[in-house]
Amino acid sequence: MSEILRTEKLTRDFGALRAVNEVDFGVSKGEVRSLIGSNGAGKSTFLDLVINKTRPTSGKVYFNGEDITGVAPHLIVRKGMGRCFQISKFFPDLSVAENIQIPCIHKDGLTYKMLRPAYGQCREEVEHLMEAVGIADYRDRPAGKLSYGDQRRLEIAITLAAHPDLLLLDEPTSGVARKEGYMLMELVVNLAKERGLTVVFIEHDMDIVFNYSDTISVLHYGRLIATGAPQVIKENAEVQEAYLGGMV
Amino acid sequence: MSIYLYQFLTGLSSGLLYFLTAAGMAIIVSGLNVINFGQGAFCMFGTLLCYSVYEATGSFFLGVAAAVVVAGVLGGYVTEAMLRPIYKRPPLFQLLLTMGVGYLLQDFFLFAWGNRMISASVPEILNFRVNLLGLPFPFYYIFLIIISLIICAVMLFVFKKTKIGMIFRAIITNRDMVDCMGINVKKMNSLMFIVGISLTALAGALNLPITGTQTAAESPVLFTAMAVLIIGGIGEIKGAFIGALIVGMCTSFGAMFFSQYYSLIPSLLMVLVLLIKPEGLCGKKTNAG
Amino acid sequence: MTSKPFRYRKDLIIGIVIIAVFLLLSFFIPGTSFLLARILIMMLFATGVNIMFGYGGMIAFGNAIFLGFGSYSFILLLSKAGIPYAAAILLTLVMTMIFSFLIALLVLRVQALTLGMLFMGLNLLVYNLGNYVPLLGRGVGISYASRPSFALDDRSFLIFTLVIVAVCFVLMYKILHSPFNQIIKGIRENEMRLTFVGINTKQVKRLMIVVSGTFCGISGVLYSMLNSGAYVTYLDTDISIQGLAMCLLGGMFTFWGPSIGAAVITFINVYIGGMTIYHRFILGIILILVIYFFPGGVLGYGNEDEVSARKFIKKLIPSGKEKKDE
Repeated sequence: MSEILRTEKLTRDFGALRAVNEVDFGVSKGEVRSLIGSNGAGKSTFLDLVINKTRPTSGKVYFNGEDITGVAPHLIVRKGMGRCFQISKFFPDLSVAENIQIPCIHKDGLTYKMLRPAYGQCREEVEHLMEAVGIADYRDRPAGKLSYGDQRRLEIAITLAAHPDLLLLDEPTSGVARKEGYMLMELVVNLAKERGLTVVFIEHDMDIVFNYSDTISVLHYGRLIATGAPQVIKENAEVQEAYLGGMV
Repeated sequence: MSIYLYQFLTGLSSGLLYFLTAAGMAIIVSGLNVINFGQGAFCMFGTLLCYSVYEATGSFFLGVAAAVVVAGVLGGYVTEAMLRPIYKRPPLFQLLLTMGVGYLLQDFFLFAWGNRMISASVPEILNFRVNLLGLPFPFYYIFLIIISLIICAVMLFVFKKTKIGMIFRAIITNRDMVDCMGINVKKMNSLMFIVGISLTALAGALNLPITGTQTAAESPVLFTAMAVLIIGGIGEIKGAFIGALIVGMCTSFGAMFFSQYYSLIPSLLMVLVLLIKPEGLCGKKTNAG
Repeated sequence: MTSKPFRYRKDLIIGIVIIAVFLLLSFFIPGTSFLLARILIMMLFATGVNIMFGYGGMIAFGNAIFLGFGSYSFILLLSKAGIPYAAAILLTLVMTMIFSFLIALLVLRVQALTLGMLFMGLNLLVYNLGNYVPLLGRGVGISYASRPSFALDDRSFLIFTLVIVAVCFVLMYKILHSPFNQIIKGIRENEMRLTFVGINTKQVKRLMIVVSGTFCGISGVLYSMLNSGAYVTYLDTDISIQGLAMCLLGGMFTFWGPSIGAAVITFINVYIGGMTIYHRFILGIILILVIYFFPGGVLGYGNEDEVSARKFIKKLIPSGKEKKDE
């Protein structure tokens, strides 16, 4: 069982508040894992810690067996981790194609090339990604003018452009209509299976969670209280009490 | 020995005056997210207005009061008429606007007061010497120290204990939240701007008998205030205080030893702090990976 | 927007037209060569500044530092170190690059607004140094005839400048339409996103400052050739602010914008500046007018600026009472 990501007693304190509490988390290659928990349970913070957007107070993170605790985020990304944010972060004044072109430029090592024209660089790859997420029709539109759902797709395309092996998604379907949310998840999971990616996603919509995850991890007040197949989680008494409540 | 005490006290008083200006800038920076590049101009305005009123009425204190009030009004006008309409634009534009305003003001001063050196003598009431360790020391410096410390105390009190101080602090930490709570943030911002301006005008007015000002030259106050803020940490009033004292002291003692280059001292301190602790002595490290 | 190939042709034509205009003016209107050369140098300066400012999105207040460094190094190398002419130029170029790199290291330790303040602070520091340090000619500067031997009179110097500036513009154009520039624009729009795509944004920013600083430095060298000396006024914050004003006025998101701004402001400086001592007032008015009415500059481009420009034009046409936009 090759674990692509593993954390050991990962902890993060904000003053007196312990947002992430000694989490031992592990994900195998190719898995689609969802991370659930009530608001404030520490899910987003956990993802931030893994990619070192926020420094862990203590504990370790291992990626593909390598200790990456404290390594600069851009280097972690280069090792093969990708992160999508809850609030879409992209480049609003640039066109959709340009948005995707930027990570492709970096991926192809063209970041510091100053003497060649940018137009048409990485064109194939950009086209390919746009088609894959379904926004190819908007290639020249300023990204800020896309609909919310399409912005999410753009976000995914940008993250995928860096060719990650592990994809960390933060509430990919939040703010999006139900049907669109399903389409989005369908897209992500298909892309993941196609490219052999591992996916860890935070989600609140239980239907999506149970439909699309191979495995579910539950965080409660910063502690990881359960990990297992969807059916097992459904029946876990502690999880029911803590989170699912009367929703099952 | 007494010469060191002398330098210490002058350093303290000039440091505290810098603090007034720097604190004003800090309030404006933390509340409006704008660096007021016109701050030096307003300081000069304080000096000039105080001078004119002092000459006209013979009362220094009236001059100081007039400087503070008129500068406050002017600051109010600037922020209401000029900053508010571009409130939504990126801070860069507001910054450049304050610079434009500063430029306008400075040439207006040149026009109104002519190209000369403005200074005045210490008002009679305060013009005596105190015996410190055998050396006669001008009381005016001590007066400055006392006034500045009083202002400090008042500021601390307002900020920590009054409702409006609490609102100010809330705006500094999270302006959008305050907006959501129904408080008119823009009005508060204007108020903060006025306070910032009044503080520096006060400093300028009080500085009249000591350094005065030169209408044709750009105000050196702006730079020193910025150096103070960088040393202490942008937006931290406590930092402004410490930074100002450090700058004041170093400049004062530095003048003793390196009389030629002492005006470079604030800049050198600034670079030093930046190399060692970029966020300033009291600043907080931003989570920038 | 990534330029399409036909745009390159358009810009090339614009460039050729500009060169032609300058040459024609110089030959048909006597005595203008000096002014024209000065405008050219400022165009180079402004476009260099815009690399950091408009494209890079940094609050680049201290560009006079680079211009000043270029001038002073060049003059010092010539006058005090007695280095042969061509070598001095090359050496200055190299030194400016290193200097820009050092400045970048210092300046990138802080973010955003603090960066602006720091730049301004450094600018004032350098100005003070120029005022006090004897080596730099306390308070005045250093006078030294520094034009190349084949370009001593104004007209041939203009042609010389034209050649150098044209080469620089070609280089800058390439850089500003390269993949590197796309990354720079990305930093301007959303730096964090870039970090999470694996880009070391600090390094990119450093490089950008080096590029910008070097071109400003070159303009400094040319400027000291023009005025036969390096003077303390080159280090004044006024120059930095003017640099920014030029970019703003002409359009900070475009390639030719800063050049237009440079031409206009230099023109105003020379003609109106000669009539009154209130030059700061003029600069202040320009800044205020531009900020209110032309945030996108003359060549205003890009969503926000187009909208503002359109709104302004709408206001000129009476169409009933409009609710004032706060």
